[in-house]
Amino acid sequence: MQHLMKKKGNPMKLKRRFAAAGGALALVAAGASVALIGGASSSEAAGSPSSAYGLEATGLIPVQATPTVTSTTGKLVKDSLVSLPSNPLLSGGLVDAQAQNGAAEADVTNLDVGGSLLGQLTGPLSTLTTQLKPACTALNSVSLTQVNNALSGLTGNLSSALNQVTGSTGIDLSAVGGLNLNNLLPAQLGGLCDALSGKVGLVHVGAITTRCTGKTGSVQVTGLRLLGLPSSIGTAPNSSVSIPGVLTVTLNKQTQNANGTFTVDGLYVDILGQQQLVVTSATCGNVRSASKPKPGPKSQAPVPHPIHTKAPVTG
Amino acid sequence: MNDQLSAPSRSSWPIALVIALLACAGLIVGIKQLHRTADTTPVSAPVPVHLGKLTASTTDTRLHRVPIDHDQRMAPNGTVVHPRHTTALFDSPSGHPFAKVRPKEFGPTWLPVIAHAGGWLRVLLPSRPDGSTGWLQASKVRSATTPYQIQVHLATRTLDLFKDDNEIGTWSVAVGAPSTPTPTGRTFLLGQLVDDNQTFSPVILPLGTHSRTLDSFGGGPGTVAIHGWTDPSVFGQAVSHGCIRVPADALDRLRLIPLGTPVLITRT
Repeated sequence: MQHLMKKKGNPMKLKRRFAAAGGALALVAAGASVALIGGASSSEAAGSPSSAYGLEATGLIPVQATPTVTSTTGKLVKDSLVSLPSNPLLSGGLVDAQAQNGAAEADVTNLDVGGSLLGQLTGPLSTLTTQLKPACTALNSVSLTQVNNALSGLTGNLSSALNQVTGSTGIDLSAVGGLNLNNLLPAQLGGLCDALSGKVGLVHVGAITTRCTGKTGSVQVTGLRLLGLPSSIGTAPNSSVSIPGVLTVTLNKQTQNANGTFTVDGLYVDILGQQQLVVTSATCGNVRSASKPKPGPKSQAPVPHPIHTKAPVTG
Repeated sequence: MNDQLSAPSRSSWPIALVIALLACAGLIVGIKQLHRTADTTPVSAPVPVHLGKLTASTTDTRLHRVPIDHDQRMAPNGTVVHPRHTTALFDSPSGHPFAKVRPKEFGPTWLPVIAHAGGWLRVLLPSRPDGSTGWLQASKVRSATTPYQIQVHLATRTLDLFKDDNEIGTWSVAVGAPSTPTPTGRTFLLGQLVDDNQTFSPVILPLGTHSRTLDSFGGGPGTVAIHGWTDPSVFGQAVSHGCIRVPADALDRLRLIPLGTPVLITRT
């Protein structure tokens, strides 16, 4: 995974910053320095271009795909996001995306999803996390039975807590309400405790590289932790864990698109069918006339017609 | 509940469950934050732009934090764009919005393109300070070409008209007096108007530049223009307040030139 750490050396790269505006999740590219590279052209060649992006969220909290590159001429195009300032969904992370004819790649390193959210919990769910904390501190001195009993007590409160939340937000949490928390192992609870104390996010990615070449795709991931717990999900195509209707986490999600292109999403998370998050996505396509993009036909600007107005000029 | 789980997830379902719970919690916090800021920030827009708060780039306005054109002697390539709707101007591709352009000022707005990068176009603007430029998204404009270019030479007091790089007309004209010189640099045909209050010319062609010695003139912002003049003895003289006074036959040709056409004003 050494190549994941190579982030310097190409002066043609676009480098941008990721920022949250007004505390919301709109993305702003600030202080952009720009170089014309590869596919940068106002005209488009024929065919479906390759493209890649680092992060995208859709649903209740949308985050536009960023950074996004599209190789409209077929030549190599790169973009980088060098830092993620404070925002409620994503933190840390160095994000690269690149695309060219027949190949695309997206890399993310050291990304935390939702870490800062846990520190901001209020209301009924805050009560739940507060109740879990004693179990966390006593992890080494209590028996597994005691831990499970504590969690059983929480489960009893869960439905009513979620109902209160549902009432205030309009989110359908009914699929969550019937679940229980009984089967956690101490090590797993330890990971959960790390998440609650803000040490790790809901999802942590040490490094993930998602590539496509033609019609094949691959994902390499290290340090993937879901709620502080090492992930047991494999990286074979379309590997996933799911609680139907509640949560699906998929690695190496591969899609053959209708326009002939092929997409690999490195990490895909669907929450309640209402919020989706993609971490690294690469789409392979091809455009013709890659070396010589022809400008599209332009019409001639119209002959002007004078308007009647008072507009003093210098004379 | 286990019955609902797919086989691969059976061993890790508690993990997934807790993720689901806390993800829901996180989602709720996020949404609450979103609702608090919804009044000021459009959630779905990739770049939050408040068009209502941006200054319109017109001949009457002065822009701040505007990128200045530092290539004033190079002719643009003839690409001109017309914003379909009011659209934001940015200080760089994907940068900060600092102003906006409207589809109509003196008739339809056409601006010359001086650079492009990806889906972004850099255009000359009609506002002060002179040399104002801005980046706009190519998807927001209609694009066209003008084969024409106008050159004004202050030393020889001539105006040359080119089509497809061939000179098709040259005229002796009046330019700014030494105390009120015609500003040099590259600008463009901004509009075409008939002003019943000004009887010296049947039609006036305002440019995207301003007098640098007159902050205002006759109640206007000091906009420099090409127009006719009733007394032909001025042609070949440096006598105007900054405008370029041209003979009637020149005006007849120039009034047919598309808006946005580049105008290069040189000291030579």
